[in-house]
Amino acid sequence: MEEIRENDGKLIGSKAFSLHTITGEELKVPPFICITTEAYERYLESTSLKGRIIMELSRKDIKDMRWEEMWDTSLRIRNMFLNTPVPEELDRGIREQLIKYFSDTPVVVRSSAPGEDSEKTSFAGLHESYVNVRGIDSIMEHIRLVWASLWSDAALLYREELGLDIKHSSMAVLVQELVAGEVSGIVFSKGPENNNQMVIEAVHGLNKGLVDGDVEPDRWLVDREEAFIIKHSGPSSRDKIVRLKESGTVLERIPENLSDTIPLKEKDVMEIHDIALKLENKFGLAQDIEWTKRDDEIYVLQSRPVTISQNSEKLWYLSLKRNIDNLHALRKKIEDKLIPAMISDAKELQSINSALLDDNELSEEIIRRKGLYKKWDKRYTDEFIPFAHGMRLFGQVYNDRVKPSNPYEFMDLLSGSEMLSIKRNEEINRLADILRNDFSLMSKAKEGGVEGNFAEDLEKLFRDFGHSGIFRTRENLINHIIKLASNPEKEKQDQKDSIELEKSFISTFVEEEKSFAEELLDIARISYRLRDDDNIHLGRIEHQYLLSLNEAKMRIAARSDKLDPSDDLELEELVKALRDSAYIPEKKMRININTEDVTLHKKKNVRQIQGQPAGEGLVTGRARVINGNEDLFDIRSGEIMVCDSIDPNMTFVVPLVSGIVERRGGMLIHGAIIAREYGIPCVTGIPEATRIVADGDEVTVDGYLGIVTIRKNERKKYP
Amino acid sequence: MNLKIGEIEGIRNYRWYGMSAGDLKKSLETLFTEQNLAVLASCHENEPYTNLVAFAASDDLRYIFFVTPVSTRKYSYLSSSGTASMMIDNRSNKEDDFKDAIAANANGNVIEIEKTHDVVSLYLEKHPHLRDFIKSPSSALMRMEVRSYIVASSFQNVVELKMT
Repeated sequence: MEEIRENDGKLIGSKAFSLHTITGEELKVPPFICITTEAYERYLESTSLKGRIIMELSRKDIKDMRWEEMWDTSLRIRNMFLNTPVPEELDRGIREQLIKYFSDTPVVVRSSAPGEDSEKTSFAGLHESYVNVRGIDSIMEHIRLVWASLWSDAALLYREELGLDIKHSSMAVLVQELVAGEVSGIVFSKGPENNNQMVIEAVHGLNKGLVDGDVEPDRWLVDREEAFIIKHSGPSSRDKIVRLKESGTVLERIPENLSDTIPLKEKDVMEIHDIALKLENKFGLAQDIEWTKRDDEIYVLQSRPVTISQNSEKLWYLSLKRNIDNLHALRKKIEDKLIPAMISDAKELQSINSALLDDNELSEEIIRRKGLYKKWDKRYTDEFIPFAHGMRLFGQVYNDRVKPSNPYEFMDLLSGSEMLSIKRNEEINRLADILRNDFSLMSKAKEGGVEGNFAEDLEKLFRDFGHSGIFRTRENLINHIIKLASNPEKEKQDQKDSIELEKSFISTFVEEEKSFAEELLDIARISYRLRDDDNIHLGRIEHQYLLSLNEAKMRIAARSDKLDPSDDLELEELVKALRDSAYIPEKKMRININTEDVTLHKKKNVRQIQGQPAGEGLVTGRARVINGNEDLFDIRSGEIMVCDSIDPNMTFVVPLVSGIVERRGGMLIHGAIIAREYGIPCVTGIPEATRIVADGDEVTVDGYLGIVTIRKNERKKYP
Repeated sequence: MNLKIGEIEGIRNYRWYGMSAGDLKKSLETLFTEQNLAVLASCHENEPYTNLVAFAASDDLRYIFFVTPVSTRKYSYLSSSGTASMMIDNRSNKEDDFKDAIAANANGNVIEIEKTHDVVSLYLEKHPHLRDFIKSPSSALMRMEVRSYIVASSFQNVVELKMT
């Protein structure tokens, strides 16, 4: 590092360069070495990884990707790094340096991307850092993981701000001696709210707990100029601490003596204040500094410009990342409180027959139902979606440990988790099977006259699952069962040998970590199941809201020849009409379609398009495009279902179809999950899927490569 | 191998015209090593159809290999006609191309072959990033058995190299 010059920032990255700059400035900095960006580039060039990353990124423009698709892209790239060893010569060169300094010293392996912390921008947490890595082999493996994190989902999200690009982006890695402080923290040399104040935060133990948001810190506001404490505020409780374990770190309950102790004394606060000012003067910019205190000495771990304010939607996405403790708490809340409350709300709504209410009561009921639906929809975003991160956390740990060639192998351990939608389909299938084998019952069913046990079971099925916003009527349900019964039975995929996979996953952990691995798998399975189930519950509440709207529409349509119950009416208009029996509501204005666009669209035929390979297999069939729920009942056996986005309330048709094409992208979305359960080829993330494919087009779904090929239906009409 | 002189117009460059068959073959080897993509021309109901494909050639240049998804038109056209032409060139989209660019046209029969270790290795050595593509059960490994190469250089000099 002695030979580093001013313009070497590109070679060693921002973090290493700033540490290098302050080394020898009467500040304590743990010793470090830097694996330069040249090593990263040599690795990429000599292993063909560069070409593979280009292929992965060319699948779809990142700006058109949903967050889930970015996560998938990032997972696939990360897996490529995990499965691509460092070429021998490069490996030897890096090891020689590591052995000199860190053969038996625990280290921190940190990202140091060029431009990550520039004067204009500073992005903390987009790339990975690993604390307490021991042994040269393990350091080498973590260097690869840090390289891979150049393409993390968070980095893809901030690609514009980072200027992320395969041709120019690179990653240096900082390997630094681990200083396990008794107290650690951060300091902002200028507070975000008041530039005359400095903000210091501190926790007992390692910084990781504070940086990851798992441990609430003590906080000091310090006057920058006069160097005195303006205010100290303690956390709501000092109950957790992050400590070292044999390798890595652990978040655990804090010992009682520390829980009552303020982590910093006044003299420490003042010392940190002086360090922060010194660094700010050195760099000429307000600094965000990580420090740790060991044996009464303060070490600077890193220093970067204070982060600018950020886009709140992107921050929401970053906040989805949960650790296992968060997930445990969330699971308890969802299972013990939220889902029972949702079920109870749906039942309560179901017990009120909208048809029996007078107009005024109905208007009040509609508003109440809308409120309830909106409330649950928000909870879905705030609490259920973050819980789905359980699957992702597990997927990442599984891939890190097992390094499978298929980055989605972990899903085989999660399927068969008894999802409500699968139970519903099994019951539908059971009834279809009865009809299949009983000709006279089938005839009766077609005539609408089933009775006895079958009728009772049908009624129970309708009670349990009919109220999902889609079946709506018993006729729809029985007709669907008859359609299934008219075709040969389609079995659910045999479960892969998940027991063997589970064993091999657990065996990668040392004895004392095995329970963590089991816990994580358990959380992932519940997260997989609930991701589906919570939609079913939400669908029931939505259905009750829609029922009340329909009732209102029917009453109002009866007032005028110009209105029809199927008209699109604003909610406000409906409510107004219910409250005023003389009022005739206005229909919603139709949107004018640009005819030029339509002509161009007719001329341009998409013949082949790439998405994500979400369910393995290859199939060709006629397309059935789902533009509304009613189209689900037109699906015929063997057709390819083309839709915007599948939710679990729609998946009862999946046993009929031979392939799925979906606009919404991702490997862990409902369409992909259900397709894998039934072993049906599926491609997701096809932009404008329902516009570029028409009913009757011949569509080939290549679920291995994620390609959809479309041959236009030349015949005029497809029934 | 026989070297047969095709049309020669405005001879300015003797590189190809005056070359022995062996030297010509070596030059083709260099061209094929440098270039990753070829234009594949197939034919369906008397209509020509062209695509870009990532190719690799056998050491003796008798075979050219490429991979295609089986759901594509080119796969079905090749499967039914069994014949194709491929163009491999080194143009740089500059004026110098009229002097320096070389275009080799290969003609021959095309069949789907088994993804054997040897051919897959040969292909992946040139296109290591296409591993997932070639290994996918939904892609087909195709082999053109080259009957002849027609090599054009210096704008209008054309020679033919027979491979059978």
